[in-house]
This record gives sequence, structure tokens and C-alpha cells, in this order.
Amino acid sequence: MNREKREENRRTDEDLVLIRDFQKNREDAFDRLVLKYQNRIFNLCYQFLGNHEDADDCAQESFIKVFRNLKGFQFRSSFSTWLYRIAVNTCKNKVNSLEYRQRRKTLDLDRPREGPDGPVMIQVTDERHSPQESYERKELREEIRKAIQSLPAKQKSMVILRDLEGLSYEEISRVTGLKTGTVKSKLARAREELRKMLKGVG
Amino acid sequence: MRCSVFKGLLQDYLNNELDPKIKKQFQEHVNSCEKCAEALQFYKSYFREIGNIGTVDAPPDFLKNVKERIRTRSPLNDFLKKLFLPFSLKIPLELAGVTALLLFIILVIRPALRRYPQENGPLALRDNGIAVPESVAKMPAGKELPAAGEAFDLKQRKDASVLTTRDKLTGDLKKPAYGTAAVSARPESKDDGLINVAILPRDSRPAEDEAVLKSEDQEADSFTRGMEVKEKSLKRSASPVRASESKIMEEQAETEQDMLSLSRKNEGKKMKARQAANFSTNDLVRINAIVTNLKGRILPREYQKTVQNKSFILIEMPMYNYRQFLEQLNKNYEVQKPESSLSAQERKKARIQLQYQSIQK
Repeated sequence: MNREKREENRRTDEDLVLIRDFQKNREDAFDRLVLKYQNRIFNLCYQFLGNHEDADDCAQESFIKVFRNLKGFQFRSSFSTWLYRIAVNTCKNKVNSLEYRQRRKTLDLDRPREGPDGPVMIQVTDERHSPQESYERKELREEIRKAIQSLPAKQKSMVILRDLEGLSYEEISRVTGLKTGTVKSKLARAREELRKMLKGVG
Repeated sequence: MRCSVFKGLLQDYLNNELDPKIKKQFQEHVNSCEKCAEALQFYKSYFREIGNIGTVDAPPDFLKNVKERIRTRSPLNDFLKKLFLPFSLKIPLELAGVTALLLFIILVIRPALRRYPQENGPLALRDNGIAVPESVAKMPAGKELPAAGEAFDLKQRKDASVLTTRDKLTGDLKKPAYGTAAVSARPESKDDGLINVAILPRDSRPAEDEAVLKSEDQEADSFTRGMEVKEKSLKRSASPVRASESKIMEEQAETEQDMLSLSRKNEGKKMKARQAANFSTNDLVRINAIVTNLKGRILPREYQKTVQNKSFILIEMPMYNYRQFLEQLNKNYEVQKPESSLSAQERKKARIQLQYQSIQK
């Protein structure tokens, strides 16, 4: 546990050094920050938006915002918290955008699409899992993912930050600007919502 | 343990944050309640599987793309995007529709209504003598009168609306009791710029009353006394404007009776008073023609709805035509006009409250 904390502190310190470097006009510092966080942010966006294209767009957008505002970063919070906040807000804006909503209407993940050889199922597969895993569990994971996708944006961000990204309640509270108690109750409600959706599955 | 308590503790249990003693109770409840056991089972499998949901990595050229976008996207593009951000917000169609409707009502319909209020005011008559609702009658009148149209610009229209609202509040109070003598030059009329004119048709006046009507001073005397009585009664209510309309009406009726009896005493056996009467259609046709010719219009009066009194009409016309208006009226009616007040003359537009009277029999 202590080790983990030390590791976390080291990472944070590293971030601070990089930010200071960036503020001294060393552009490679930004590159290093992007490389360090790109996977986490991309994954967050992917879980939020459900497809690679939008995730890529939002993750890039988040880092562009970072680039524009990093000069004025005041070290009041950790860089990762700040970055998560930017990414979550960018995703929420995307979900609310007309373009995204229209695309979701036409490209519904559940609905078969007509391809040249008949209906084609768009599948978002996860290649990281070994093939010997039971089909049912895979199915359940997919159902959970879909259920999270269909949550309202606020509840979705809670579930993603806590259950998928593994942030602590305190971190989520800093990212979302809500009190820890509120985070807990909202998360409980979101999970309850998921349970309702997944009744009879798995 | 009840199910509601179980629900409250469930998340803490899953986070392993429960006190050992409560945890034991919790587990006991799970063993006894099938529903709660099911919920717990769901969460157990949920947490097992959600931990196994794979993560997705950023594409290899991610950094390159980010830098490319930073390089190519000018601040101008960003500004434009921000400018049109409102369009990309999620506004439900229903809300947008309701908002548009409200805006339409506020910006289009209300000003139009203010200009042409639709109400059950007295019938206004077109030049051709066809009786139409006043609000309809005024529309062509407004178009026909370029000079008047200029005069009735926005500000003036506002004036008119203020006038009607104020009349609604104070008009009933100010109104002298009907059935007594004329409304000539009340002190209040100087404040709101309203000129009170009373008319009496010449042809309808019985000959025997000629002498009576000449003794104006006596009549005026009775009128002022009447006013005194009325003022007293009004003082009784703390805030006359706020007093309910019915109360005002009551008091008015009271005052009317007071004044009637007063004037009767005063008149003795031969005095006969003028009485407020409703405009006849012929009179309205005639007056409307005069007013229209003089670039004016007849205003609707809101308080007539409640008072049911059609003996008053409000007229608006350019001030320079006011004298001519009186002259033309004088041909057919005996006109009783107030002494010219300064505040009224300073205005560009004359607003005249015309009372129709007949001889009380």
C-alpha cells in the first residue's frame, strides 16, 4: 500500500516537473505528458462514447485543451485530476452534441446494418481476453458495457471513473466537483440502474 | 434487518467498509431474503466482470495527430466553433418548440394586441355606418391616417396602454356619479392629461328644460357636494385603488344615491339634472366620422367590461385638431368642455373622455 502511494507521488512529482518544463516553453514536455496519459484518456473516452472514432476525436480534443491551458495551470490539483476533468467534460459535450446524437440514431450498435452480404452486426470485440473464457461471461461483459453506454451522461461518468478506471471517491469528487457523499449516492443509484437494465442477463 | 437497510449498506459491504458486527447482520439478512440475495449476487458478478472488461489503447499515431491538430487549428476556427456552440447543445425539440412559441407570443402577438386590444368595448362604426367591434374598426382607420399613424408611434402606443391600465385602476374611482350634472374640468384630469367633455344632443333636449339647464352654477354646486360625499366615502377604505372592484361599485352606488337625493333636494320641484346615458348607434356613427376625419380614433376602454357603462368613450387625436373637433361636435350637441388646461395643451395628442348625457325625466 505504502509502495503504491510512493509510486503515485513519484508520478505526480514527475507530472509537476513536466508541467514546469512546458511552462518554460519546452515543447517535448507536452509530448511526454501525452504519451504518459494517452491510453488512459483514450480508454475513458472509448468507454464513454462507445466507438473508436469519437473516442479518438475526444481524446485528441482533451489534449488540445490541455495544450492551450497548461501555461496557466496553477497546481491546485494534480495534473491527472485536471486531465480527467477535461476529458469527462469533453465527452459529455460530445454526447450532448447534435452530431453525436444523430450518428447514434443511424449507427446503433445493437441494430444490424445492411452490408453487401446481408445484415452485418457491428461488434466491438475485446481481444484481450483468452478464448477459453466461457461464452456466457463474455456475453455478460458485453451486456454490462452496453448498459453503461446507455446510462445518462452523469451516471455514466460515475460508473466509468469508479468501476472501470478505478478512481477513488475522493478523486472522483475532485474530478466532478461533487462532494464525496454525493459521489457515493450517485454511484449507488447508477449501479442500481444498471442492475435494473441487466435483470435476467447472466 | 429490513430490506431498505440492506440496500443502504450494500455498497459499503461491497467496498468492504462494514463494521464486523453489522456485516454479520447483513449476511444473516442475505441468507433469509431471496430478493436481497439476488441483488448481492448481481453485484458480485458485476464487479467480477467489470474488472475484466478490457481497456482500449490509443492508436499509435495519437500524439502525431494531436500535434497536427494543434498546428492546423487556428484560434479563429476555435472562435467560430465557440460561436456556434449553442447549436450543438442538447435542446429537446419540445423545449425548443415551446420557447419559439413563447418568443412569438411575446414579440409578435402581444405588441399587436396592445395596439388593437380585442374586448367588448362599445361598438365603433366605420364611415359607411356599419357597426363593427371597435378593435376591428380601428385597423383600417390606422392605415388611412398617415399623420395619425406617425403620431401613434411606439411611445404613444405605450401611452395609450398606460392610460387604459391606469383607467382600470382609478377610472372607477374618479368617475363622477352618473345621473348628476356634467363632468366638467375635474382637477384630476389635469394630471393625466385627459380632457373631459360632456355632450348633450341638441335635438333630444326637451324645450321646457332650457331654463333649467342655464342655471349651471346651481348644478355645479350640487356636483361639488356630491364629490365631497364621494371623497368621504372613499377615504373610508384605506387604499382605494386596491379595494376590490365590487366594493368600489358599492360605494359608487351609495354615492350615487347620496348625490341623487342631494341634487333632488337642491333642485326642488323644477330642477332636472342631466344624466349619463349610453351612446346610441347614430351618435357613435357621427362621432366616429368626426374623429376619423380629424385623424383620431376611438380608444377601447377596459373598465367598461366590469362597469357595463357605455356612456363614456375615449378619443385620441392630434392636439391641433382638438378645437376643430369641439366645433364640429357643437353642431349637433351641446358641448360642455373643461377650461383648457396647460398640461393637456402641451401634449401633441389630445385624449378626450367624452360623456354622453341626456336629460333626466
